[in-house]
Amino acid sequence: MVSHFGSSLSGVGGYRPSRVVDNEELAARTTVSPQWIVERTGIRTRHYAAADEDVVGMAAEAGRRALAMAGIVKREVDLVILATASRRTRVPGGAPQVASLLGLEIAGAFDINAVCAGFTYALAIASAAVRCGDARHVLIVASERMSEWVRPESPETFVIFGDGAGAAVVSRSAEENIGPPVWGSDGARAYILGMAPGPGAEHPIMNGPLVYRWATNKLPSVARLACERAGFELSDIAWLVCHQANQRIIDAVASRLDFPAERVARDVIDTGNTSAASVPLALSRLCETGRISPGDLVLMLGFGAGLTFSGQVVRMLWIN
Amino acid sequence: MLAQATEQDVVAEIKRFIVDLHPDFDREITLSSSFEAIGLDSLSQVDLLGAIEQIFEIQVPDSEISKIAKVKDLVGLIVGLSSQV
Repeated sequence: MVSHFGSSLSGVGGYRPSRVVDNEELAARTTVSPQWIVERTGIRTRHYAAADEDVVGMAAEAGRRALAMAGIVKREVDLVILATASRRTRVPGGAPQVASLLGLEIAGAFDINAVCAGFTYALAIASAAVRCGDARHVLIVASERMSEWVRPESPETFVIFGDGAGAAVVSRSAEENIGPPVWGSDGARAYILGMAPGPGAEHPIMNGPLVYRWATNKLPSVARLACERAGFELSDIAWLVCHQANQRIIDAVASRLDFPAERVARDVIDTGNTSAASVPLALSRLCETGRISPGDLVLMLGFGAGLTFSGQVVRMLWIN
Repeated sequence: MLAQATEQDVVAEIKRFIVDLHPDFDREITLSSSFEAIGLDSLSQVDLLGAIEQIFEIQVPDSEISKIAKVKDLVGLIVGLSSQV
């Protein structure tokens, strides 16, 4: 028997490592200037994790903050999903350790890797688990330690990535407040964004113009369809929260949608591109700074290597 | 369907795009001008390409994009693709 419930976001949380890295520091180690970095990406600073800030630890801290905001009983968290692409240890997965660190003793736990779109995929999975009755609450966490992978010989990726974690709690509710996902992939373009091979030399590489072209062509239609499937007009959306890949992509997508520039999350400017963690980090900052009001509709758009993408509309029920 | 694009058509659209982006732009654009030199970085070149694709109703393969550095590269590509439509 399948039960049907509504699902809502009941809490969000973010964790940014304390070390802030500016463009001058990175430019001194690679072949592009601070001005080049700002003009091409919009990024001014990003955070780098310290030696003791690993993917699991950052995830647990972001998760702790999201659970505190949700104010739920820990024994009612039935599932933990960790979205990450940068954890060096592939086996075992990190989600069970996140659950243990947070005292979520009965929760099932698993990792997913949809790279920069990971959080939006996890949100869709969590919402489905809650709606069908398989979970009362699901903690989703996206955590990345990209600084461990970047190398100065590939400046396009060296200068954009940062570290951090973002989390959200998806909870059972009477109303449906998380719209259906519009997700998809394009494996034929896997080559435009990925890892350069080589023992000890593996690091992220990308063809920036092709990523820009694909994202700015694809995401506007994903955005419109996500609104349509959720039963809203684009003009109903209060905030556009894209994966914080690059400010030029974000602004181009917003422009093509005729979306008001002042309602677009630009956490990328001082947090950089934190891969899967970027959407929940941007969302949690909007909440922390009081820019989201109860009832606001947020359109989230995740996209990244694979290629993968996923978008959905979420109605926010609380303010920080 | 549009008539086949000519070299002059494509150059005119490139000039229009640059002036829209940089209203104070007053330099000469020739076939040998490089896009970087006239103020279009690699991402702005992608925006230009998208605009040109719409105007001339063609689709430029991803594999061609890295070959575009100068005005003449884009003009040759568009005129060639346009003749195949």
